[in-house]
Amino acid sequence: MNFVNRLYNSFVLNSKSNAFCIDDTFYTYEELLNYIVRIRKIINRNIESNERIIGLVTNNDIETYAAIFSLWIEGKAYIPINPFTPKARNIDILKSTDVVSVLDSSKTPIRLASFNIIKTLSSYSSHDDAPFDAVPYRGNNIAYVLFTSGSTGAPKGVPICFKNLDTLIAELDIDEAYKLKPSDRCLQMYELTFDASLTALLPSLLVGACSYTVPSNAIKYFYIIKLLHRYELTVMKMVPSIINYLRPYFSEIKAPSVRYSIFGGEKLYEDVVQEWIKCVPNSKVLNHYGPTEFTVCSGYYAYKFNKKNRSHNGVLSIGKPFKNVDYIIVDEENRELKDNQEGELCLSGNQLTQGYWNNNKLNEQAFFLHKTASGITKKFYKTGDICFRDKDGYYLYVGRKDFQLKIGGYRVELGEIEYHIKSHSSAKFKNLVVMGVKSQNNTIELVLVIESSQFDIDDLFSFLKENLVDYMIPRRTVFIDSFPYTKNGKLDRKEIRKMIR
Amino acid sequence: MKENEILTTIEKSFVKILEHNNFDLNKSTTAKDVDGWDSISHLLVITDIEKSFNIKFELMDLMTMENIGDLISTIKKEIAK
Repeated sequence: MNFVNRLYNSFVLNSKSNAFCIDDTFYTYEELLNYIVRIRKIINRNIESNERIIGLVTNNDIETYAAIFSLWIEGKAYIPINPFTPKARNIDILKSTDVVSVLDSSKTPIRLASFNIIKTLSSYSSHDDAPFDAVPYRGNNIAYVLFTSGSTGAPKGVPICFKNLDTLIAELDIDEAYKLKPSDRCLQMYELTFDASLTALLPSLLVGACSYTVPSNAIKYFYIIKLLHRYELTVMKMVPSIINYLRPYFSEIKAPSVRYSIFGGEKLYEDVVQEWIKCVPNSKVLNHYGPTEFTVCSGYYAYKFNKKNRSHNGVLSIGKPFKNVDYIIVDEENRELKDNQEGELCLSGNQLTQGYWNNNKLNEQAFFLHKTASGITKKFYKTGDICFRDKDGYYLYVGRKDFQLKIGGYRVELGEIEYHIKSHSSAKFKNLVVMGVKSQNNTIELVLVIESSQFDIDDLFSFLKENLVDYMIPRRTVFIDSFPYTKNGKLDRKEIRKMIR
Repeated sequence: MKENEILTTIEKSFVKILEHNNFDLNKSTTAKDVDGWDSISHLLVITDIEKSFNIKFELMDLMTMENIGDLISTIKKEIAK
C-alpha cells in the first residue's frame, strides 16, 4: 500500500488519539482528518486540477500540517515557503517552479504579488464528514520540492516524488532497530523547509503516535528541553547542534522516558554523544545520514553503549546504507575506490531524485551511470561528501570536497553568500571570502573576511538580510589589508584562518 | 541590586554580542523585538550575563524565560542565592 493511503488509514484507526501537540494544544487524528477534509475542499475550489506544485507557507499550526496531507491526497506537491525567509528569495523559488497558488494559514496572509494566495485559516469543522476519495495515486508525481543553497547564487530545487518517499518508508519499516509505538511522543523540531521534518513526522503519524512541534521563533534548544520535561518525550530526532548548545546544561537533564535519540543533518561528534547518553540513559542513539537529493536518509549508524564506536577525527561513523541502497566511494574520474581509500561518496537507489529542477548543467555534474559489482548499470548521485569505508563496511565522514557547510543542519554554499556580497553596490574591496569557523561548542560560525581597510558595512548587511536566509548571514566581519597567497598564487585560506582567530 | 542597574548591565551584554544598540530593552521585550537576537546569540548573551553577575543560570529557568522581565527576575534570584 502506498504511504498516502497508509497515512490515511492510520489517521482513521487512531482517530481518538493525539496526532499533534502545537503550542501546548493537542489535536486528535479525528480533528486532523477534519482539517484535511476542509482544506481539500479549499484546494478543489481554488486550484486547477492540472496545477501540480503548490506553495505552502510553513507556519507552526495544524492547518499547515493538514495542508501537506491534503495536497498529497490530491496528488499534488508542496513547496515550503518560510515566512521568515526574505521575500526576494521566496519569489525566486516560486517563479522558478512556475507555482501559481500558495496556501497560507497566517492571520495576515503573506504578501506575494502575482501569486494566488489561498487562506486556510479556520478551516475546521467538526461536522464535515466527506468521504475519503483520493485522486488516483501516481508514484511518479512530485510530492515536494525543496530548495538548497546553490554555489552560483541561486538556490537549487530538488523534486522528490511519491515513489521516492514510499521507498524511504519501506526502508524504515524493515528496520528492526527502529520501531515506533502508538504511545510514543515524538519531537518535531525541524522547519518544514528542511526535509528531516519528514523523518521526524511520518514514522510518528504512520503508527498513530503524537508529534510535538517547535515554533520557528523559539530558542529551539531551550524549547525542546521544555517539551522534553513537560511531556516526557520518547523519540527525539534533532540536529547535533542542539546538543552542542545544551552541553553546558547536561547535568540538569534527566530524561529516562526517551527511547530513541536520532541525529541527522550535521557531523555528530562522539564525545558529545558520550555525555548526552547520560541524560537519556534508556535511549538508543542513531546517527542518520542522507542528502536531500536521496529523500532525507540513506542509512545510519547505531551508537554502541560501553563499547568502542567507529569514528574518524572524533566524528561518529555514518554507518551502513539501507538494505536497498548502494554506496560507492569514487575518485575524481568516478572510478570505484577500495576500502580505507578516501573519495567521494555516491548513492544509488529508488530514493534518488529525478534530478535538479530545470538545471541540466548541474545534473550532468551531479549524476552519472556506473556499473556496480553485480554487473548492473545504475544512476549514482555524487554527494560531495568525502568519506571512506572501513574493512567491516562502515562508512566514515572525512569532509566536503567543495565549499559547502552545514549550519544548524542547513546546507550553505559559501559561493552563494559571496555572490550576493559581490553584487552589492557598496562592494568596494579587492577581494572577500566567507569562511566557516568552528566555535567553542562545536558549531560553525560564518565569518566574512574582506580585503580592504575598514568601511561601514551596515548597508551591505541590510542588503544581505533582504536576500539571504538568516543562517547564511555572516556573524562576524574581519578586514585584512591584503590577503595572503600560496606559492601557486592561490588564496591561502589556512593563513587567513590564522589571521581571523 | 536595583532592577535598573541589572537592566543596564544586561544592555551592555546585548550591545557587546549583537554589535549594535538599535533596541530598547524593557521588561516586556522579547527576542522578536531585537534585531539579531536568535538561538545563537541568545546563548552568547546568557553566558556574558552570567560572567557579569558572577552567577550560573539553571536550565529550568532558561527554558521558561519569555522576555527581559523574566531574565531580570531570574538574575535577582541567582544573586540572592
